[in-house]
Amino acid sequence: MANNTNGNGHKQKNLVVIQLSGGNDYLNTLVPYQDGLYYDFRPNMGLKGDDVIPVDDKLAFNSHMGTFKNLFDQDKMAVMMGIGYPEPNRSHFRSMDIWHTAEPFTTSAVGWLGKANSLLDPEGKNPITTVNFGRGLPRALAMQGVSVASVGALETYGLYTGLSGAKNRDAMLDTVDRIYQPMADGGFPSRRILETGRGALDGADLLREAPQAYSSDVEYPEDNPIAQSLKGIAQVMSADLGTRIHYAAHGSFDTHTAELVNHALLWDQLSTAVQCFTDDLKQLGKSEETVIWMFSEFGRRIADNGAGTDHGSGGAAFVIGDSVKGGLYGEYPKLDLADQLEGDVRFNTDFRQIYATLLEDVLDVESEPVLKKKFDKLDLIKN
Amino acid sequence: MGLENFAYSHTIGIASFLGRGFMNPVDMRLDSKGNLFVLSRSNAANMNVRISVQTMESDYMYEFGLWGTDPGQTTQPTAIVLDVDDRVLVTDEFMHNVSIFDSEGKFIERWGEFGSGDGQFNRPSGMAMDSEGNIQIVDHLNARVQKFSPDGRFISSFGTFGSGDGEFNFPWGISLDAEDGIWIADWRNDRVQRFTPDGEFVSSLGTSGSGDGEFDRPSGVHVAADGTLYVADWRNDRVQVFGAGGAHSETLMGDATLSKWCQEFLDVNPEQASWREGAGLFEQEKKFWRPSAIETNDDGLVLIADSCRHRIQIYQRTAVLASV
Amino acid sequence: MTTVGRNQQEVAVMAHLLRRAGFGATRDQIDQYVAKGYEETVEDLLNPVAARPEDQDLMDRYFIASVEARTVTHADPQWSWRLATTEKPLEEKIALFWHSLLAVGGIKLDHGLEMLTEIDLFRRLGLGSFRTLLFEISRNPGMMYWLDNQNSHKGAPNENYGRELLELFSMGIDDLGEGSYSEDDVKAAARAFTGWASKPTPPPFFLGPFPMEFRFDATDHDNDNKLFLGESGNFDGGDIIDIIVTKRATARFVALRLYLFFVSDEPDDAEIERLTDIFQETDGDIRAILRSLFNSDHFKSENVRFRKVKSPAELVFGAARLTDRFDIPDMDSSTLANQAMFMGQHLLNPPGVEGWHEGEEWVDSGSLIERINFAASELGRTDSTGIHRMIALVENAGDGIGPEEFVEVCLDAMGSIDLGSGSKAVLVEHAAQNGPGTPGALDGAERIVEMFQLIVSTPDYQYC
Repeated sequence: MANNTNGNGHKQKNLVVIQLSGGNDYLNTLVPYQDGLYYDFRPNMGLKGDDVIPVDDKLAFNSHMGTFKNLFDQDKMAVMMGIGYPEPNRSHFRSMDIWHTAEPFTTSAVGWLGKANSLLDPEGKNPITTVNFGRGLPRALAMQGVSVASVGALETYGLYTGLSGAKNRDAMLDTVDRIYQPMADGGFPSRRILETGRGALDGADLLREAPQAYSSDVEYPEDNPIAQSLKGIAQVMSADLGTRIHYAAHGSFDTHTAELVNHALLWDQLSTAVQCFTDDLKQLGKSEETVIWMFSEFGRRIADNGAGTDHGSGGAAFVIGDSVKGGLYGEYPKLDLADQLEGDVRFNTDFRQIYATLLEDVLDVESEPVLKKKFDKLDLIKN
Repeated sequence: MGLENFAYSHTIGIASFLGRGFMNPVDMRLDSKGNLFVLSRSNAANMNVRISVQTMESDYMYEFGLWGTDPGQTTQPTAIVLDVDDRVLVTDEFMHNVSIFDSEGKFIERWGEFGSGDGQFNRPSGMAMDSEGNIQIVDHLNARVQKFSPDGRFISSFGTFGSGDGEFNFPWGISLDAEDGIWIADWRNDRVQRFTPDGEFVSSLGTSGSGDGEFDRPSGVHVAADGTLYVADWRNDRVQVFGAGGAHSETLMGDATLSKWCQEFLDVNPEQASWREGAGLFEQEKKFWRPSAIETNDDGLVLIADSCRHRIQIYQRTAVLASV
Repeated sequence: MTTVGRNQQEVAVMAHLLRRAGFGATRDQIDQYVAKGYEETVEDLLNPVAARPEDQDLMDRYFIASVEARTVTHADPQWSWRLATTEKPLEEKIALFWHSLLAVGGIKLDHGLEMLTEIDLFRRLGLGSFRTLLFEISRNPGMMYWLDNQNSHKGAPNENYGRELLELFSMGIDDLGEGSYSEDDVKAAARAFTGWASKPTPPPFFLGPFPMEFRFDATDHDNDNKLFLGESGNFDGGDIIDIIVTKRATARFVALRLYLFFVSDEPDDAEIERLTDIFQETDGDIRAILRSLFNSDHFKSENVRFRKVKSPAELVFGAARLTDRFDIPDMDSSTLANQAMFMGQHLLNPPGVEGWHEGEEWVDSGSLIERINFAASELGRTDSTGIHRMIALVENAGDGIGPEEFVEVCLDAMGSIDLGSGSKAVLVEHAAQNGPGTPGALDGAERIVEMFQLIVSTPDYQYC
């Protein structure tokens, strides 16, 4: 599947979403280390010296983003500067909802990737077109009628795992398997529920067996949750189950206090995790066909609060992969008071432009039915 | 109506899920250097529990005892006490135990387990230390108070479930007076009970209600060095002060001003500040919401954990009452 | 019919009533209700005693952050506890009904305390007059904020509330999207609600949330004449509601929604027309409609039994209540709401103004695995008094029963539930193949629990 070339000249690829939950501090991720205003606004939280890795004479990465600096140097990471949406909302929940549904002005029960899933698999034939690592579905993946597997750990995914009792688990599974057999319309239980169950059981078997097909000498640290999620994603990929959308979350980036310590720790974990994952993709031969998308629901205030930073708007996002045209995109927002939006940076790129790009050039589905209108794509994807 | 025997001093705190600030502070203690240890409880599932340390001038120092069940973590913490060496003891009603940390927050040990036998717990809550370093712990679902040696060895216990003299119904807070006499906030009986150091019933104060000397689920009780009795009258959202003979002296309803941390927050978040101005609920902002514990020091400062407003309100004694 | 047969019928119908008007019941509870009588039970359910719950102080003590619930997740423990322990099941069930119909999304509102206040409003008024309920929800500060009535001003009305009031809360639209009202009626309604808003409160980020309050701003209210559904006058919001509730479209809309929630996922036109008549005869008395609904032969007939897919809340609290283990609020009870969320129903946070889509849409392959695993783990709580009693009921049937009877006794012990013939046949086979004396067979209690766990794994158990 991954070798197909789609209508607009791009190969079909798979998407890996890494959600930075809690509001990643843009200014301490991509640091305007030569801008005096930055240090004026950040007397306590300003990064300098060894805490930054310069990219050019204006910008630097946070020093805990080593992997990302390397990916950037290899032209494999597109850095989206000043990304956001109109009339920013500074509530975690509402803002995350906006990113999840691609609806800045109204609430919606349909996630942008849930809708994409319904376009990728209109008849719902593959219940693991989307795999979410974590419990509970992010609204980005939600759409009623669309099945998504939410996996804690692959090895224990499925029915009756960790159940007390259930001594004869195999016998129980065998019986359940015989119950969920498709039947004619109009019976009880309904055919739809039976087929859903059939799909669930088959999907669970495939996912649970995925680690068996996987072999790799990459060692993902056990105590790094996002690394473990990405390892699971690599295992699912290696089993070639037709999964197109993989989702994982990392956080919390809600650094109102103790930001210097916590923000550094989170990016250290992420650097290690993404290093392992990209190494693993290379071994699995999946580097070309995999695109990573990292975003957060908002950036944070320009000015620090003494111990950290509060909820803001506008932020940075990243598209990573061998097929990605690396570089800086958009403009780094100005920090002058006159250019600020209520104490935040102004956005200059609508996040839905990136969604349009990811939908069409990565997942190979029409973006308009998902985003409700046509957004100009960005020239991010090579092939 | 102005305050008679107190002057409002200042407030420490801001609602915060971690680090600087508090999330539902339910207890607090001052150490020998005058630093303030605050126990944030939150809801366990929200994982914002911690003990945080700051100066009385709102300089945040460090935190420990974060959410979890491993050694050095707390899940549903209820009370905190410091010993003479500033070691920190924390009761936890989820794990049914007591965890001990050094003054820097380094975990030392923990003891206690679920049960109803001697030395076992069913939701330990309030905790106090006597003049010899022994620890009195309100073992609230066992409706008793248990006494332990400084190293956690069970010594004795008293109390049983009920509403008669010396009986308890979901007791919560505890305080020891200068003679090691024991005062218990008998929460669901809406009263404060006084016992001798050996657990003999002495007297009872208060009935259900919202008038002077009446309580609606008193949570915290504190006898100051000067003998004044403070009761956190939890569901009446107030603190009552009692003097000689248990006579009601004064009621504090809350006088909070913006803390230093809140002011800093509003300074860098101007639209939040204007949102607050627009609401204009300045009187409401001052009031206690479920105050749950009281602490005092020798300089006559009175600290009140204002648990649903995520702050510590601080008063200064301006007159000394006759001892309760 | 024999006495035994009649009694079995009574038990089955009572169990059905309690699954629909509540969250199912244990076998002993069913017997108690049967002894009381069906119509008397309906009256009990319809008339819960209004009082502050005696254990509210315990909830507040153990879940102090729920007292000032900042977010939905801070509020969860409160409703979880009520749903897990209530002895007034219809009070909670009707709150769930209105929560999905007069839906306010906790995430946009971002105010857990106000969400709990709304659930309380549904408990208080949900079984009373629809007019009163609609009036009070229109004065509910959370609703006013959620549907942007804050931004509706004299001379510049925001139509959101006026539109949803007509479309989603009362008169409804047909399959073609047509309503029995016009765009001009929407505009008139919006004008009538200008000035209805919530008082501003300080942001929650430094002192936590402040309770929300309704405010009517007379200076921002459009006092001009309005033409609404053919009537003319200087209407305000209350007048609009007075007009709406007299319309048959409203009566039918409410009757349909009640039918779909309490009776079957498949509407029955004749029964819905009958309930519509009762709405009109009683000026929209929800209690009267439900009384007639529950007491009807239609409701009691086998045709509608197990014809509704359980919502996640029904599944979670139905299974959890079987264990009868909630003596005092604790972490265990507080996280039940998360289980429903894993299955696609985040209580206090419906996904949009349309609430949740009920019926088969609840079940997808991801949520089915969550449903089965959760229910199986609840039924495996052999240390709970509820499961203990259920095991004893099966054991009392004796060792000598055959596989068929064994399955039937297990179903009865779980609250007199039933399965379709296909699933039942497979379970009987399982019982026979793994029965006493077979190699590696489980002994008494373990074998019984295994059957309970298999029963909740069936597609049939997804229905109530």
